[in-house]
This record gives sequence, C-alpha cells and structure tokens, in this order.
Amino acid sequence: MDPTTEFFEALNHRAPDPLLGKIRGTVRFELESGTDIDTWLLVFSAGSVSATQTDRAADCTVRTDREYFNRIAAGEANPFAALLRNRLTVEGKLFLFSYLNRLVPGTPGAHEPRDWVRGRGQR
Amino acid sequence: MNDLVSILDGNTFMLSDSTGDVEPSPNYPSGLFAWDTRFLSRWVLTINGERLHELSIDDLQYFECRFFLVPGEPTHYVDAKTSVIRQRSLAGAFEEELTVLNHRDEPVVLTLRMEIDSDFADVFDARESRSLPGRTAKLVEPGRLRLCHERHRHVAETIVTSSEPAEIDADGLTFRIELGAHGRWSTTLRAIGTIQGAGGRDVRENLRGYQEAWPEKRRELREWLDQAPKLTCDSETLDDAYQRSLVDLAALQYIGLTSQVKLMATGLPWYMTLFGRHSLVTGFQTLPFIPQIARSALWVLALLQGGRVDDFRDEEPGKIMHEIRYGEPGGFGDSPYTTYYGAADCTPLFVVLLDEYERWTGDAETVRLLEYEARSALAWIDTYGNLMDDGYVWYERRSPSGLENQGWKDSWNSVTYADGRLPGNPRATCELQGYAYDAKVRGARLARTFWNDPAYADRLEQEAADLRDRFNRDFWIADQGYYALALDAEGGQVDALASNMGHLLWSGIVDDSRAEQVAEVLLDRHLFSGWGIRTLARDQAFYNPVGYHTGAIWPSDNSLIALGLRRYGFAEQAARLAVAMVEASGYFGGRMPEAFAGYDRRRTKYPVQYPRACSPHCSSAGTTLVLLRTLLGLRPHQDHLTIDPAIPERLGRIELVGIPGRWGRTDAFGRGRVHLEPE
Repeated sequence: MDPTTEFFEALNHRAPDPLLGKIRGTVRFELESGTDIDTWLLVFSAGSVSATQTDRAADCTVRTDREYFNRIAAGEANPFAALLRNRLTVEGKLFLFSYLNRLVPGTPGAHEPRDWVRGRGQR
Repeated sequence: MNDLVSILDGNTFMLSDSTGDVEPSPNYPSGLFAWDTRFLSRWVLTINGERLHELSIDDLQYFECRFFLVPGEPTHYVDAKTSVIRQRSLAGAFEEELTVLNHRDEPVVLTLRMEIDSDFADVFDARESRSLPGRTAKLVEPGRLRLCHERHRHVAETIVTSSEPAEIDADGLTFRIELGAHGRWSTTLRAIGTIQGAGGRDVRENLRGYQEAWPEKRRELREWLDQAPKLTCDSETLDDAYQRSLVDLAALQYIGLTSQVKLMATGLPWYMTLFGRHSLVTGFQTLPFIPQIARSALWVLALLQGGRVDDFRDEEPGKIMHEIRYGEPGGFGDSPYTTYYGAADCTPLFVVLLDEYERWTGDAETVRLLEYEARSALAWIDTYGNLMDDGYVWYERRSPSGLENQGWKDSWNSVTYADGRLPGNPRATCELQGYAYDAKVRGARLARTFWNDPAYADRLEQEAADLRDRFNRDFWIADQGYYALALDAEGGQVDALASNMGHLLWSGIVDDSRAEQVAEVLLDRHLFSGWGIRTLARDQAFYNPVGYHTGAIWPSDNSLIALGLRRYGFAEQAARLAVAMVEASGYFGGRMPEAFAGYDRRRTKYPVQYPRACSPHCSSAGTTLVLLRTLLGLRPHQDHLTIDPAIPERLGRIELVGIPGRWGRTDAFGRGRVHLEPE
C-alpha cells in the first residue's frame, strides 16, 4: 500500500472528531499516475470522515499526480503550499480543502515541543 | 515614507512616488502588489521623453486617487503648456485613466509613454531587486503587453492593455497623440495580475467579490460607515482620527483564498496579509463599533487552527496561526510563512476574544459552534505551550527560519535583561501568562454558560487562580517594584522594564495590592514619553527611541494598556494616556502608524515618525476606537451597556450614538471633567 491508499483507508477508521463536527461536504481527489486517474471521494458528515474510491462529482475537486499526493499523505508536503505553487489545483468550495490540513499526518521526524526543549543537550 | 502615495484594496496595493511613478527603490517596496507578489515594478510616465512633476494629489477614496501633473522639473514659476491628470483605482484590476490637456491656442503633437516592467518579487525581496529563480518573459501580443514569470508549474502574469490604440514594445506602451487647440485626450490603462490555478485560470477566480467594480466598492464603504456609531465631539482631532480609522478598517478587508470570509490585512506595505495576533487584537478593539470584525477573525482563525506537529512551521494541534503568506517563496518551501504558527500569544487571545465577543454581541451560537476550537486552544496552553511543565506558557522556535521571539514583540532583541544581555531559550514573557490567565477565566465562563460543562469550568477557574498566585510570586521584582519582562529557562527573572507589564492590567492577573505601583511605573517618565508608553524604558541598556520593540511607541500596545488602567480603576491615568494618543494622531492626519519614535515630548514637540512603520495598520486604526471606549468608560454588563466617562477637560464633549450590541443600539455621552496638567 502506498501512502495515499494508507491515508485514505485510515480515514475510515478515524474516531469521530468534534473539530470536524460543523463540516458537511464532499471532496473529490483526482490523482494522475501515467495515463491513469485514481479518484477518491471524501465525505465529511457530522464529525466523521469516510473515503471511498467512488467516481462522482463533489463540492470540491482536488487534482494532482499520485506521486506528489503520496508526499502530502505522508506529511512531507504541505497542502496549502502545494496550492500556492500550482502543484495541486482546487476547484469548487475551497474551504473544504482547508480541512485537509487537519487530516494529514505531521511531518516525519517532527518534534513534540516539550521533547525539543528537553533534548537541547543532544542537539 | 512621507512622499509616497498609496491606494489599497484589501491585500492589493499600489505604492508610488508623488507623481504616480514607480521605480525600484532600496527603501520601500514600490509598485503594484497583490497576494504578497509584485505585479508592476516599473510604471513611469513621460511626455516627449520628459518626466512629470506634481501640482497636487487628491486622495479620493482608499482605493482611488488622482494626480495633477505638468512636464518638467519644478521651478518657482510653472508655465505649463500641457498638463496631465492620472486617476487610478484598484478593484481587482489596477486601472489608470490618463488625461492630457493642451493649454496652447494651437494644435500640438505629443508622444506619451508608459515604461512598464514587473519582477514578480515577493514583498520582502522587492527592495533588493533580487532575481527570482525561474524564467521571465515579456511578450508583445496584439493589443496587450504580457509579462510572465514561470517557476515549475507556478505561473504569474501581468497583462497591460489600453482603451486607445498604443504602440507596444517589450518595455512599455507609446501613444502619439494629436491635440487640437485647448484639446484633451485620454486613455485608460489596465493592469491585471494573475496567478495560475486550476485549468490555467486565475487561482482566485472563484472568490466572491474578487473583481468588484468600484461603484460597488463605493456603496459598500458607505454602508460600512453607516453601520458604525456616529461620533460628535468638540475635538476635531478625535473626530478626524475616528473617521480615518473607520475607512482604514474597511480598506484592509480582503477575502481569503480558502476561507470565503473577510480577513483583515495587517499593515501597508510590509504586512498586507492576515496576522493572527493583529486580527484578534483589532477584533477586540472594534467590538463596540463593528463587531463583525471580531466575528470574522474568530471564524477564519478557527478554520486555520493548527492540526499537526510540524517543526518547519512551528505548528502544533490547537495552536492559532501567526500569519499567512501567498507569495511564491512559501509555495516552494523556501520560507515557512505560507502558514506559520510561531506565536505563543494568539492561542490564548483566541479564547479571550471569543468570550469578549459574546459579552458585547450576545451571539451565543458562535460560542457553541466554536466550542471545540476553543477547547483545543485551552488544551494547547496546558500542553504544547507549557514547555517546561510548570504551568507557564513558554516559547522556543523549532523552525530554523522561524521567529526567535513569539509574543507580540517578535524582533530578536525585544526580550532582554536590564543590562542588555539576551536570555537563552525557552522564554516565558509576562504578558503571555496574563493572556493564559484571562483565557482560563473566560473559558470557565463559556464552559459554564454555553457548553454545559461545569466540571471543566471549575477546573479552569482553579488553574487560573493557581496561575495568578504563582505568577505574582515568580515575576514580581520586589526591590524594583515592577514585574519582570520574562522568566528565563533557569527560572530567573529577565528584568528589563518594558511596556509588556501594561498588558497584565488588561488581563487582570495583577494582584490588587500592586496595581497602583504598576500604573505609576507605566506613566513614569522612563516609560511614558508624553505621547505614549514606550516599548522599553529609556534607562534600559537596549533602549533606542527608534528601536522597533526597544523604545518605539506602538498605538496598539497603548490601547491595551489604556483598557487595563480602566479595568483596575485608574480612570485619570487612562484619560491621560488616551488624550496623549489622540494628540499624537493629529500629527499623522488622524492615521496612526504602526509605531512612532519614543523621543521625549518635551524634546521634540511632535511625535517623530518611525522610519519603516506600516500605515495604515489595522490595530493602530483600532486604537482610536479603544481610546473612545476608554474615555467613555464603555463596558457590557449583562444585557446593557454601562457608561462611566472619564474625559480630560481639553477634549470637551464626546457623544457616540448607535453603539451596537446585545442591547440593540444605544448611545453614550460624556463631558470633559478630568483636570490634567499639560505634558
């Protein structure tokens, strides 16, 4: 499983999140690899998120290549920065795209701030 | 930046010299900017090869202005045969109408030329004329000049067109015009900046109101002014500052890329984007006047609340954002400021504003809808913010390009010992503890009244009380009689005397027995210049009257201190500070800059400009509104507004009609009765 599949599959097992409680809407991801396009549909509803490989229209459509989305799904690339450099495009309700930042993992090797302070001696 | 002329519309602005021309300058970012990117770096008008000289400038609205110009250099006797009117406006696109008037009694043939270029620089690189990575091209196309910059898939373009036919070359547009005796000729130039997104279209295309025509803007501005309370007062200076502030607050609104609510750009020219801190403070300042500013700030900052741990962005779950930047360097990961979270004050201030917002507006629904964002913010204070596990809020950057200081004074030398040494990391500045205390007290009220969680409310109240006790023990410097600026990592007191202490009164963390001493120190000559309270006292090692956070005077800082003085019952001291700030605003045409110099009033007689200060600046515009609130003693109490004026004699009468709130609309009146000695 690549990071993209892992990321979407894991969303289905995510505990209901009160921080997503107000959001309703659907986001379609179109991820190109070579000539293929994989589609994923994210459904936000009352705090829970589901992700399926459904091919249908949504409130918001995100397009990029699968290789780059692997980096986002692994926490290595930032979704908003990707939008600014046109590495990824978004159409429709852009506010739904903002919530992607709450779903993707933190950057690999990121430090819990308290560990960072305690670990000064080792740096 | 005295001789510069700016027009603005949200996060878009055009900054030129006094003739309307733009040329690269090492001192300020001149040109047309939108979304942190420069779209025009050269815009120079000539007639028959000659530059123009200004006769006068009309500042029409914040988004339009007009220059009256004549060819040639100024002499004591101007006998122009030709004059030019440049009228420019910003409404999504930049438009400039050029009108040429022939004053001769005979026909004339003239060559009019506009030199045009763009370097697509980021606002902070704009002064250095540093070349960007990527490719730049100037394309002459039928009827238009297209300037573009490409870096991988990132494409920014400026397209310039004219309503009259022009000869177009890669460096500009030329018009050969024939004018009859006393004839007139005109054309409208239009420059559009785009950043490509989906389907090659402008990434901002689906933003509501992005390309609004200016008649619409005029109508919106009228409505904005109509909704604000009406001020009638004896002081012309105060009235000017109030009107100017309302217009500037309207001018700085823009619609975000992903948020669809109005955000507040912070300050022209450096900070024409959302800053968490200034949006929260401006929201607080403007509640008695325009409560939708606070409402928008809360919603957008909730949407952008940190969701994960990211060292590069100093981001943690629950943390409220420091700033957002739209420029190219951020997109390519050259800078963390695209979405940067290195601020330790924004998170508690978010909870403070949410509570204050409800107290004024009675909008319980927002408090219920933002419950979990507010709870995450409160949780951040006790976890990620509590770096040393001692219950204080500390900061230390993890991002190599992040900010060394993460309170409102975020420059590198703003936190020092009195003798000028710099403390190590992490640091816990005093005002952060005040904000955390206030957030807990207010969070407890929200939990009890709106979230149906009395157990959580009890816990927050207990923590707040403990924090207050510990703070008054650990930060008070007994032999000096003031609070330490910060604690260092060893728990030692960072003992510089600074304005931060004034915020402690605003937050209510100061022990009642010490409040009078604190108020005295704040208004003593070392901190108080006669125009306002300096960021750092003049007897401290690092003091510099033109030091950004080490001696300059910040209106927004003073506004929170004025509120703090009133909170502890020092009405006369608050009135003294308020009248000094009102008088200072008179020297800035009613538009208080981000900061001004800390020279003593007795020495300079007028407030000296801080060289690179932003103006307009959102929380300086908000300051005027706080001064009115302070002078009239406005406070929401249950379902009504209490009014307790403390107005200096020399300000005379103040009437504020139509103050919005949970009571509907109400009025406040006050008369100058407080006797103060001249400064």
